[in-house]
Amino acid sequence: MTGAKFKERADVVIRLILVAVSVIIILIPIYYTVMNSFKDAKEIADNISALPKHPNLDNYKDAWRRLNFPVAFKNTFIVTLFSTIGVVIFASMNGYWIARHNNPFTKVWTVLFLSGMSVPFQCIMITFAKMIGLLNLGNKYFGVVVSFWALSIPMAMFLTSGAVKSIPIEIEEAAIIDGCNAFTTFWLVVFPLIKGTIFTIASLNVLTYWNNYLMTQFILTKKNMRTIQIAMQSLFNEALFSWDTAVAAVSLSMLPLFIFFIIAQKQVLGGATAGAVKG
Amino acid sequence: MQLKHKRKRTKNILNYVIFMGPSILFFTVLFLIPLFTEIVFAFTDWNGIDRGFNWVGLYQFKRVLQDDQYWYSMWFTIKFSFFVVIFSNLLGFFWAYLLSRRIPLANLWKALIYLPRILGGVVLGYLWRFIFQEVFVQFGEATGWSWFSQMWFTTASSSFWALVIVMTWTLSGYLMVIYNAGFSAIDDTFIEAATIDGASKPQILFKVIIPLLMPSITRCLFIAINWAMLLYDTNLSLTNGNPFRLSEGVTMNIYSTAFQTNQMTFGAAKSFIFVLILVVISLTQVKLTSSREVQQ
Repeated sequence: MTGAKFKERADVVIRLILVAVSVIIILIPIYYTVMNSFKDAKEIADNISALPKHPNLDNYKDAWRRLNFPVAFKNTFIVTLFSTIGVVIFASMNGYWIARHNNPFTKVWTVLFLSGMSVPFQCIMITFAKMIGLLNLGNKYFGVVVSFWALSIPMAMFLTSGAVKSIPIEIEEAAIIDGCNAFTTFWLVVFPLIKGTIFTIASLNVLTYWNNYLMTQFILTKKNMRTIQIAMQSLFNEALFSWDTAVAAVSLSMLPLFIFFIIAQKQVLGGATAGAVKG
Repeated sequence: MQLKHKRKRTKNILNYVIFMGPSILFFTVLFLIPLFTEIVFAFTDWNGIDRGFNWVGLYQFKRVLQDDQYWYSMWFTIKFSFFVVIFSNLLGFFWAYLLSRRIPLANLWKALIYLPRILGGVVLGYLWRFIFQEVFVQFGEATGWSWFSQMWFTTASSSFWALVIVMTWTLSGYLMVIYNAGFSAIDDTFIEAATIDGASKPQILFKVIIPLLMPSITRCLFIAINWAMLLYDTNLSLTNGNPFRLSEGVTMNIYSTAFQTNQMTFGAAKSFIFVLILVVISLTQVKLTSSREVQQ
């Protein structure tokens, strides 16, 4: 018995060591980037592994200015916020209605929305870019926000639809008898019951919106409309500079994501499995 | 009575408009119409500006077949995806296996393994450009391992492996979370029964756990194939196709055709063929792996 127990212990210790080693290897690139962002170019070139001799924020000041970080942050934040709120509202209402109404109309749209989940953006991007120009949505927050809605409604809708189906319909019938109409039934009775799924959808999409490049670049082209990703791309594309500023720029743009991940870690990890249904 | 019926009908239509209307509107205007027109335009010679265009049948598709650079980027993407899919799934599975038993700080380890995944493609590429061009080079010079100190992104193979490494780094943690969910859905009694029957650890892994995990494997392979094949942001920021368009993925090829050389319809035909190939690969994979799924 003690032998079995010892074996059990050894098993846990081996797993723990292997996991810890893996985590260290995974984190090395992030560690080097952040650590070197406090050094000047010469220090980086001399010895990349040495800790900063005179840690200072000079690189960050430079990166802050070159990225126009406050503006880029503001743009990214506004786009992410309104895209997330909108997709939660529209997709959950749509998903609820489709889950509760089974007729030819909803069936046809289910199939169409399904196509939205399986066709990658790459397949529509050329005419999508034309459409943005046609509708005069270029360089407008609304243009990006409404595009994100269009592209992420399908998946969000199927997630809510699935959650709604697990709720007994008797609850809604009781609400109708109590005088609720369809709108109030959904928002006062059903929505609070699927809050878990809603949080998952939100946290899943926040990161997608925040990090998007391919679609956003078609819409936000003006300098003062850039998101962080676009500002990063143009910084590295246009300006000649050394690695000290560059690593500070990379670290600076990672910072909001790290903060978000620390706060919403549970939802993000939960969302990763739920989002995997996509497919 | 009839009036009441009519009123109920109007109210019902109003509900459809309220609940489904916005979604249908946005989705139609910014997804369905672009999708439909892109397919249609692939059969025309529209230059993107003029009002008129001619139907040219399969002309654009014939051009795609003769475009060597396109097929080079296609083959590059498939090769790249092959390695990323294998590596990221092996690592994701391995970590999920390690975390499948109760170990101290399990949630912290999980979060840290997942961490690379939250970084966006552009930032990811520049972070790793620093690692390859500075950290790896200094490391290689210090240790004498010339693979590390090579001139990164000046040879086709260095760009290729750099992309494989970065995408594996960002994808493995994500797959780990999905495999992890698969592991926790396995009923412990299966493993206990196998242990009592005298099965060894590798036997349990290959004869009990892996067959029960086939749904997760199907899902993870699907996700990895799609993510790798659709690569764009990191391709742009890490290698930008260097050297001489030798590390150009398909999306980058389509993008430059459509927007840098302004051949929209040619690009549309390219993206159409790309998606067809992607769908064939994905469906084959799903068919192959889901046929091995067993009932728990």
